[in-house]
Amino acid sequence: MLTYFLKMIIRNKTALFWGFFFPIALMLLFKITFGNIVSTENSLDERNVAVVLQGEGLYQDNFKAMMDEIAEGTGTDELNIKVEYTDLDTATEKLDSKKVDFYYVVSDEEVEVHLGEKYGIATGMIAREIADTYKVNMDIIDECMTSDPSKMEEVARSLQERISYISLEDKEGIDIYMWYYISTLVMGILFDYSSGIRVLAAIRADVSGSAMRVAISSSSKTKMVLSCLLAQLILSLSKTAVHILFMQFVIGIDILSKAGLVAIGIASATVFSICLGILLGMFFKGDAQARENKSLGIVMLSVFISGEMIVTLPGYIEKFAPIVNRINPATLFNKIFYRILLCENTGDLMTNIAIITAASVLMLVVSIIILRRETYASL
Amino acid sequence: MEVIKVRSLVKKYKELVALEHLDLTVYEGEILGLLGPNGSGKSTSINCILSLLSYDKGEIEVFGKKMSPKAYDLKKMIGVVPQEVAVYEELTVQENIDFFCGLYIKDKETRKKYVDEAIEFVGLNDFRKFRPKKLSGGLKRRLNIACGIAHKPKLIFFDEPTVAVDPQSRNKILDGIEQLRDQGATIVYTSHYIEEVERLASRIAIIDKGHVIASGTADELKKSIKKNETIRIEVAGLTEKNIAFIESMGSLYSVSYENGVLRAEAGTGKHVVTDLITYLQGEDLSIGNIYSEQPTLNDVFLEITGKELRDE
Ligand SMILES: Nc1ncnc2c1ncn2[C@@H]1O[C@H](COP(=O)(O)OP(=O)(O)OP(=O)(O)O)[C@@H](O)[C@H]1O
Ligand SMILES: [Mg+2]
Repeated sequence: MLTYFLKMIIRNKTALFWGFFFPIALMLLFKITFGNIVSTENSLDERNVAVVLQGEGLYQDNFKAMMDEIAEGTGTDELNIKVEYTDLDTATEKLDSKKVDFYYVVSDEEVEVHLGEKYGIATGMIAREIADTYKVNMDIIDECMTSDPSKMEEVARSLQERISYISLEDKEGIDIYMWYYISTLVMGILFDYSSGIRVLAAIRADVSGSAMRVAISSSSKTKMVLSCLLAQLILSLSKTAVHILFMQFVIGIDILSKAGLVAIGIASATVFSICLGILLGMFFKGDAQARENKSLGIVMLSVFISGEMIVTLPGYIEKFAPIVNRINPATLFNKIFYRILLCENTGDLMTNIAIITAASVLMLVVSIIILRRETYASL
Repeated sequence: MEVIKVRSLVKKYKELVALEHLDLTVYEGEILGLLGPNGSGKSTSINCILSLLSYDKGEIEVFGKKMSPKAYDLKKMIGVVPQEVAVYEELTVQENIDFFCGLYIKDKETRKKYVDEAIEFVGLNDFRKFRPKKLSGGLKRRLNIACGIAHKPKLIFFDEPTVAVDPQSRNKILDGIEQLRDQGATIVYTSHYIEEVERLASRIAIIDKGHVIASGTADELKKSIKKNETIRIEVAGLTEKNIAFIESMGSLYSVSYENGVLRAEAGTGKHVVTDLITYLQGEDLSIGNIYSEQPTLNDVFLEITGKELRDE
């Protein structure tokens, strides 16, 4: 039975494409696009950046520290940036007269990026990336301040370390577009929701004809569920393992040095995705394909608002509906992996993983209760 | 021996009453034809008997025991060929049959033998390694059958197994079903094709609106209705008076005369046709061809429900 389930999953072209090949293709695409930009940047002339600090405080200090770090790191093989601190009027004027390539306005609430009229792609990317990194830093600092202010210093230090990544000190080791790669990895894992639907399709007579045959047979449903689940887990985890190896050896992101934490993260994310699939599948109506399509809509939405395509999206959402970022699985997983790979402190990482695991268990228990109570099919 | 006993089964889908006090008995070794138009409740009654659906009222016994979702000992003896082809697209013909046979037969050796026999039985030997997508409609139906019968069940349900199948494949399927009966299986066969049911079934239950309106052998059913046969006689120059007389003969109904053809339905009396012909000859009318049509199950259905069974 297990062998057959394994065969079924491997031979399902749609699932194989979305769950396995699509993420790899996307990562390759990122590699090609960003790889080029990064290399042109290095050969490009120095970029002049103006920074307008409005008010005083942690946010402004952090931004300044980050910019200085980038500017100091300037060398032949690195991001070439010259920073000057000034007021808003001067910055605007300098941008107009092309004396600076872009400028930032940093206040307590936000950081604005102002670009000139005809800015190049590379300039835009650099400008945005710096701002994004800062935003991610601030999110983490904010979270830390509310949860455990005593750890502040530690967090700040680890952020300093991260900031230096932007300056591409170690070009081989880390990629500034980490976020894209991570969210692609996460997307691949979230696509395992389809495994959950498949489990349902194996045993629920109203989902598939084959399940109807199971329902009328003298076999027990529990055994079917378990072998189907096991098959799903084996293949989902192997698939993600290949993605990790791909990221490590083709993209050049060092993941294996944190293999333990990454494995925990992946395991919890995979289990979560499968449980989510089971629950969504039970909630929707129709045949397996219909349920899968509807669930796919939800998963895609989750992936989209986590910033898979637009990195700054979570930042905007944070402003208007922060709750979304707290409960959106894709965002949560992105953050988990981001922290595992880029931060030294993994303190509340485990809390996040625990929350995810608890949510999975809850979904599983609900599903099992519903499934066990159904002796008859609701055809 | 009664293999299936269904007593006053009531099944509602919300407001819609799909089965209304359905009674059905199936005896060992017979092929029971469950004949009814679309939506009459054939599939629903099968699904209830299989404990796939819950029902509102009634009793269902299979092999003399109460049927329930957990009656695994009963389920072991049942095979089903569902109306819609139900197989895994990702598995080959052989793998599909083996998978579903494996739901009943755990022993590998036995299962291998059974699977081979099932493949042989439906004639899919050349297609063992094919995926369902690559099979034609008729072959897919045969695979559907093989998946339902590979474990050698004693009671088999066929729910319209020949829908959208060409006549050649259809005949093969019907032959196969007879073969299964000859091997000792009891079979419930649903269809809305009258000819199939007449050819195959040893007993027929006609179902309409969730209720069995008549049951018996084909002959019994035909005899049960008033109409016996339809007579058509080519005869020239019949007058009003002649027709009035024919109507008054007492055993002829629905008499009509059009374009030189006299049409009448004969009741169950003796010598009805000879009497009529004798009369026409006595009137010195010249008679052409004479046709006589036996009543069909459609006539049975028409007489009981007032509507046609055929929908094609
Ligand atoms: N899941 C359902 N929900 C609501 N109504 C249903 C459902 N399944 C069947 N019905 C209704 O119950 C009645 C009986 O349906 P059933 O499928 O048993 O008919 P059938 O005799 O098998 O017809 P067919 O020849 O088309 O297969 C129909 O009126 C149908 O519309
Ligand atoms: Mg039906």
